[in-house]
Parts: sequence; structure tokens; C-alpha cells
Amino acid sequence: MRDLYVVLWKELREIARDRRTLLAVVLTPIATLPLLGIALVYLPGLQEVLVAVVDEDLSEGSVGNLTVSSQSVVRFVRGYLEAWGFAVTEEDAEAADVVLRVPAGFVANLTSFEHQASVVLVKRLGSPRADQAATYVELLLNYVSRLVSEAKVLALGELAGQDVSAEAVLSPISLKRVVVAPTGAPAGLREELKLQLGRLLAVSLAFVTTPAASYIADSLVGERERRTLEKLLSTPISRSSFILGKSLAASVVGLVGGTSSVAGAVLLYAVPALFRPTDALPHLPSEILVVLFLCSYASILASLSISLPVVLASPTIRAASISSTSAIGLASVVYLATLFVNLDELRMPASLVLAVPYASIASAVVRAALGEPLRAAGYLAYSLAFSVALILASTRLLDPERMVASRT
Amino acid sequence: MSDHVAVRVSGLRKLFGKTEVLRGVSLEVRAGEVFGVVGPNGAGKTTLLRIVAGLLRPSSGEVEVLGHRVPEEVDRVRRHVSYLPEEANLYARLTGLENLRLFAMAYAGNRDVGEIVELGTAIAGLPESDLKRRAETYSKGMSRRVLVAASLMVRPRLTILDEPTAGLDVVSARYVREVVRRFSRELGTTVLLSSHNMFEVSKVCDRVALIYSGRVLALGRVDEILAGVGAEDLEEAFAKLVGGEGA
Repeated sequence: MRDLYVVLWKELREIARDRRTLLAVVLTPIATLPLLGIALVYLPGLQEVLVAVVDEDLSEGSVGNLTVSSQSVVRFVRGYLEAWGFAVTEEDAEAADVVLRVPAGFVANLTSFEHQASVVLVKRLGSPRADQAATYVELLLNYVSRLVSEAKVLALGELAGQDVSAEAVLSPISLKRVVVAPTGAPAGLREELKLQLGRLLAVSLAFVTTPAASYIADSLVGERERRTLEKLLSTPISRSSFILGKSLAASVVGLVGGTSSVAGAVLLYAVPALFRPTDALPHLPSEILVVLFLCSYASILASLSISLPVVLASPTIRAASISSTSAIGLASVVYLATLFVNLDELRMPASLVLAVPYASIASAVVRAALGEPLRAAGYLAYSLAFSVALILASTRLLDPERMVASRT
Repeated sequence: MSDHVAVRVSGLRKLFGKTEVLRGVSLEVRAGEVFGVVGPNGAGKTTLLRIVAGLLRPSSGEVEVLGHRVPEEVDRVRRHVSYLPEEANLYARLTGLENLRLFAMAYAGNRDVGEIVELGTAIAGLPESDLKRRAETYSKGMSRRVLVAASLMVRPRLTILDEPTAGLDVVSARYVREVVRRFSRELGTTVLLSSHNMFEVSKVCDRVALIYSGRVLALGRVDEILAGVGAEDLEEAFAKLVGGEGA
């Protein structure tokens, strides 16, 4: 234990005096995660997209009790698009990214019982914001279409002397959507948001892996290149204390990064809402943050345990850095996959991915968000056991001859 | 091994891949003496010292340090052996005092760390204000003084110093030589040092081994070697001994 204390004493002093690195570890997630939020929500709104809504019909008609004109349709579409931040013109602009053309005869066909009215929607390829505008136009036209359909059904019922419900004719099957948690308890919007948030925060764990994995690479191989390793290895400090002390110090660095990652995740969640007042800032469950913090530490240990054997075999700090970056890459892929799939519900052999500690950590976050604390704890315990076992096994891999004699 | 032999090396060979760096080295270092391994760059001095320090494994041959086989029983002697590699550096972000404290803690066992550091401060011979500065601000001479102090202050039974004065100016080199000589006697420490500086080993060492291309060419007191070869100084003796090998 005393040996371990000696190594830890040295490492923590060195860390505390490396203020630039510490600052980078703290600021990176705090700066990048909110930027991610801004990039996802705010930046698309800044892209200039011009929508042209061209009325070539300029007529009015009625069906049943509903009077409709091509201009009222155009005004309706324009009003909503402008509210959502799009530039709208009623001119036939060549520069427009999206063009909705309402042709002559539109209203006549819209109000007729024999013909279908048609419009033309032209979308310029290559802009996600233009895709969004086109999707909104389709939604608005569907709404208009539904209003006219209801008026037509009521008019036909009146002609036939039959009591008619527009809903019964247009949507004879009513679908009631009930969402339940895995426990069977009813789940509402809050639970769904919590799950989405859990998946999103699992992605943020990728930021945690970087400082710890980089630190262990520098700490072991860098010490050789700074020519301090040989003397330290010749002291009575045991090899296991040497490795464990450095791993503990790296986990402290990772924990600092993990804490700021949680802070960054809160900002990631909050910042888009500041730019989009239409989005209410839903309740951010504190238990998710606690789980995220625990998973951050588990993720740090996982990165250390995976990096350590490779770093110990690396001849140069460059090779060690590349090796530890591979661990970070693996973590990023697994955490990103959590956005799209429950990793613990895959069929064999894909389910073997759970053996990778990052996958079990990501599953722990998702299960905690789904209100299954025991399963979450199980996944977390597995990843911790895996990491600690691998770190302990790595202490046997420390070969002073390789560390001392390999070329730098 | 008798108590008065600190290091015994017998038929030691070391290969790195196909390159044979040590070719059957045999020597004994007596307890309490300052023993010099002297030879040109690439002679195998550092490899020999690293094997004695337990950092490299011999390819064949036997090494005993303080009565224990190395590397098999190296953990039993580590507490009694300190080693200073040729190009060792201090931890740059720690102060000189903290560097001393680190090695004091590593070796202390039940001893008082403060007392060990106090001895280290005396051996280093630097003002307290310098020792309280970070080592990244030190000159090479200052760093070397602290490193030598860190090796001697722990009162090892054997200290291994690889080229302790390499790259130092005259004043610093002289200080290190004097410190090694004085404190090894005061503390009763056996010193095994390597050097390519023939003058240095003549001044500091009780006995020397002249090593060249992985072999021991001569071993004994400097005056014995000089008499045996018929030379006036070690440099001339060395030149005569390796002459037949094209040196």
C-alpha cells in the first residue's frame, strides 16, 4: 500500500501542476457538448432557405359549408413557414430552394367530387434545411386536404340524408397509442423524454474516455521518453503498485473530465432550449445525472483497462497514443450505436457485444432511463469487474527490459 | 558469496536479437569499494549495470547482488540497491525537494523520510531556495547533483551509477566525484560506476575493469593494471590492450 501511495503522490502532484492539460480536460466537454446542441438545433435555423409559393390559380370555390380560395391556402402555408423561420416569396423565384406551385384549376378540382386537385412541389437537392421545408409544406397541405375531405363527407351525407361522422368515414380505424415501461407501468411523455435523454447522454460518455486513455499512454511511455522511468523502475516500488498508482491517477484525470462531461451534458440539454423558445425545457431527472456520473467513471476504467496492455507493449509514445486512440474510437462507436439500438436486446452472435464494457455501460444508462435500476446496476458491475480484472492482469505485463531497452 | 563481495558476475552474456553486447563478463565488486567499469561508448557498460540493477535479463551466465541471484531474487535486494541511469532526469514538475522526497519514500521502509531527505539535501549541496524550485528550471549540473543525492541518501548497500558525470562541466563533475567518494565512505556504500573517462575512474575508483566490445580486458587496482601493461595512465593502458583488436 505504501508503494501505491508513493506512485499516487508523485502522479497527483504532477497532474496538479500541469494546469494547461487540466484546463483542457475540464473545458473540452463543457465547450463541445453545448456546441453539439447548438449545431443540432440552432445552426440549421441559420441556413437561408427560400420557399416560393406560387399561386397560378387565383380562384375561390366552396364545398359544403367550406369556402376555400387558392390565396387562403397560400397564406396558410406562408404563415406557418415564416413562423418556422423560412424566407417565403410568392414570386416565381429561380433562386428558391423549394417551390410550391398551385396550378390553374386547383380550387375547382379541390371542391369537386369528381376530380383530384394537384399541386407541384419542387425541391432543390442537397440542403437538409430545404428537405425540412418541403416536409413542412407536405404536412400543411395534408392538413388542408383533411379539412376539405371532412367538408366533402359532410356535404355528401347531407345530400344522402344520412347522419355522417367525418372521422368515421375518413378514419374508420381509431388507433389508441399506449406506451408502457418494461415494468408494465404506463409511460408518458416524461418517460419517453427521459429515455431519449438517456440515449443522448450515453453518447456524451465518449468524451470521458479521451483524457484517461491519453493520460495513461503519456504516463507510462512518456515517462520513458522523459528519462525518468528507468530510475523509478529500479526502486523497491513493486510493479503492481507502479501500474495501479498510475491507473488510479489516470482515473482521477478521467473523473475530472467526467464531471465536466456531466456539466457539458446539462448544457447540451439546456442550450438548444435557450435558442428555441418554442421548446419547453423539460425536467432533467437527477437520477439520470447520477447514473451518468457513475457510468463516466466506469467508462474511464474501461478505457484504462483496454489501453493499458497495448500501451505497455508500445515502443514509442506515438505508438502508445495511437493505441489508446483506438480504445477511444471503439467507445465512440458503441456509444453512438446506443442512439439507435438497445445493445442488450440483440440476437446472438451480435449480443456478444455486451462483453465489451462500453456496451454494458451504455446499456446501464438506457436501463436506468427505462426505470430498471437492477439491470442497470448489473451492467455497471460487470463493466467495473471487467476493467479491474484487466488492469490487475496488466500489472503482470510490465516488463522492465522492454520498457528500458526499447528504442524511443 | 562471502559478505565482503557485493556483486559477483560470472560468464555473463547478453544478446539483443543477434547482437551480442556482453560476451562472457566475469568480475567481483568488493563490499565498501568504489568499483569502476571503464570503456568506450558501446563497450557494454550500461547493459552490464542494467543487468546488475535487475532491469535486464542475462542471456546466460550468473549475477549475484548482495548474496541474491539477479534477476530471480531481485525484489529481495531492491531496497538495498540504488541505481542512477546515465541520462536520467528529475521529474520536471516536481521541485528538487519533492524529487528527493519521492525516492526517500520509495526506499524508506520503517525509516524516517524527513531524515533521509535531510541527508539528500546535504549531499546535493544546493541552497534551499534552489531545492524549492521546480526541477524544470534546473541546469544539468544541478539536476545531476540532486539525482546523485537521491541515490546515496537512502543509504543503499550498493549504488550503481552509470556515467554519473557525463555531459557535466568541470565544476559539477568535480563535485559529483567528491560526493561519491566521500559519502560512499561515510555511509559504507559499495559503488559500482561506469565511465568512459579514464581520468575520472583513476581519481575515484579503488579498482576498475577495462571493458571493450563486451569483454573484460583487465581488472584490478589502477596501479596494478598500469604496471601489468607497462603504461603511464589508464588511457595508454587501454590503447595497448585493445591495440590488437584495431581500436
